Amino acid sequence: MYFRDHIYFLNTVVSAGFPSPAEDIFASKLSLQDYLIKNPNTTICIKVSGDSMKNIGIFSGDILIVDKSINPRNNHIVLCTLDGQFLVKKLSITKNSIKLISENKNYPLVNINEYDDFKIFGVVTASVKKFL
Amino acid sequence: MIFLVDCNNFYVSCERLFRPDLNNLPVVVLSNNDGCIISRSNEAKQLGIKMGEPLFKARKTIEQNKINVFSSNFELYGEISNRIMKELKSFSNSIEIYSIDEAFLDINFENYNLICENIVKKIKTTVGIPVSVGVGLTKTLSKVGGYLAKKIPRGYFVLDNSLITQNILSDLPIENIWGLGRRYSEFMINNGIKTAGDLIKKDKNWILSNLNVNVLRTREELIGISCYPVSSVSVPKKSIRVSRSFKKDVTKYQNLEKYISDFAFSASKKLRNENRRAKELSVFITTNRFNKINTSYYAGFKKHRFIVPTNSYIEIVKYSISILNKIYKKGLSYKKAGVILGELCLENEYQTSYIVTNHNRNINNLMQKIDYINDRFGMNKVFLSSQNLNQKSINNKTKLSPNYIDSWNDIPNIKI
Repeated sequence: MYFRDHIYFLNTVVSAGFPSPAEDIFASKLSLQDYLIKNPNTTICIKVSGDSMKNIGIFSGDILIVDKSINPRNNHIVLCTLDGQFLVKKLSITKNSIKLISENKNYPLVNINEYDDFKIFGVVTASVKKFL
Repeated sequence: MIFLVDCNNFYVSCERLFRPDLNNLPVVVLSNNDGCIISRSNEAKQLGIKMGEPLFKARKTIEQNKINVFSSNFELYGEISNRIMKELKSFSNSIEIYSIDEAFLDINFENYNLICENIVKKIKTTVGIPVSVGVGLTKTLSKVGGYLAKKIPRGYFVLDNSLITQNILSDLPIENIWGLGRRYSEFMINNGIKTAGDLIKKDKNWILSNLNVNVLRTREELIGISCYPVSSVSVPKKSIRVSRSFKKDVTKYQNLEKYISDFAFSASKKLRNENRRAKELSVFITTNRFNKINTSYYAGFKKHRFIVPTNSYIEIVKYSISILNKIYKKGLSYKKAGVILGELCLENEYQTSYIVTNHNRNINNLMQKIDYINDRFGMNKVFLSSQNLNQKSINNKTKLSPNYIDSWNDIPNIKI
C-alpha cells in the first residue's frame, strides 16, 4: 500500500562526518488544500463576479470555497438559490425571519418569505484571491 | 437489514445540481453519441418521453415542450457518484456499490425509518442529489422497497412486517422483480405466475426443472432467505471495452484502422488507470444492418492472446491493428467497431514467460512518461501515429454541460 497524495522523501547521503541533526525529521510540505478545504468530499469551488459583497472582502474574480456539509447558521456567508438563481449573501436568521444581507449599501436586504423557492446550497468557508 | 440507496433520475439530477433554474422544468440526458434518451426528469416522463427512446423520435415532443436536452457528462456524473458513495460509507462499512447510482448497505440498527430519513437528508444536503431508499431482509426485497419508495414523496419504504410484505408481494407484477430476465418473466406469466406472490407459492422442484437456479434464488430472497449477501469487496472489472457507433458509416480500411487505434489506446488507458494488465485482446467490426450497399450483415470478431499479459499502449494498438487486418472485408460499410481487453490481472501479479525475454523495463518507462504527459497536459497530447486525431465523427456530444466540479475552467460562474 502506498499513499499517492503524500510522498515524503528522506534524502540522505551517508557520509563519515558529523550527522545533520535534522536528518531524522520528515518535512511535510504546507498544503493549501488541507488549509482551505476541511471536507473535500462535500466541497465545491465557484468563481464570482459583482461587487455586492465587497465590504466583507469578496470581489469579482475571486474563487469561493463552498462546503455543503456545514450547517448554515446566523452570519454565515452562504451560497443559496432563490427562484432558480444562485446568490452569495450573508445569512441572517432570527426567530421568525430569514434575511439575506449584502455587504454593500447599494444593495437592498432580501426578506425570504415562506412561499419563496429558497434553498441554501452550502456555506462559504473561504475566498481565494490571486494577484497574478 | 439491507438498504438499497438509489439516486432519483441520477443524470438529470446531476445536470440540475448546478442549474437551479432547471428545477421543475423537463430535462433529459442523452446516451454517449447523443443517440437515445437515458435519463428523464419526472416532468419529461409525464410528457410521455420513454426510457431509451431515440432522440429523433422524441424530437417533436422535445421542441413542442421546450424540454432541456443534455449530452451525457460522465466525468461529472462519476465525480458526484463517488461523493455519494463516500457519504454512504458513514452509515455502514458493509456497502456494495452496485452501479453509478445504486448501492446496497447492510445495517444492523432497529430504527429503519430513522436511518432512511437520515440517508435521504444527508445525500440531499451534502451532495445535493435526491435519493430513495428501499429496505428489506434481502437484496431482492430491498429492491422491491426501492421500487415502492419512488412512488411516495418521503422517498423510502421498509418491508419489515411480514403481513404487509406478503400483501405487497402478492400484488407485485413478476416483471418488476429484480434479477429476473425478460425471457423468464414471459415464461412465468405464460405459466400463470403473474406476481411475486405466485412465484413464492410455486414448488421449488418445478422452478428447478422448468427454469433455473437463479429464479429459485430470487424466490428464496422474496421469502427473506438471503442468497446474495452484500459484498463490500469491489469486484475488479473482468473486461474493458471501448466501442462506438460511427456517425457516418466507414468503408475505407485506413479510416477504420485509425478508429481501432483510438479505441485500443483509450482501452489501454483505462487498463493502466486500474493498474491492470490484459491477457486477451479482441477486436470487432460490424456493418450497418440498414445500409443498402451491404448485401448482408457482417460481424467480424477475433481474439488474440498475449503470452505475457500486457498494458503497453504500443503492443495493444499493434495487435488490434493486426486483428483488424484479419477481420476486415473490403467493400462493406461499417457502422460499429470496438476493442475489448479481457482476462485482466493485477499489474504486479502476472506470470512472466521464459520464451519472451524481459525487455519490459524500458517499455514501462516509456508508458509511464506517456501517462504523465497526458494526465498533466490533457488526453491525447501524446499518441501513436496510427491514431485518428479528428474525433468529430465519433464524439458527437453537442449539448455537453461543463465539468463543474473537477475543472478550474468549468467551475460555476456566479453573479453576486
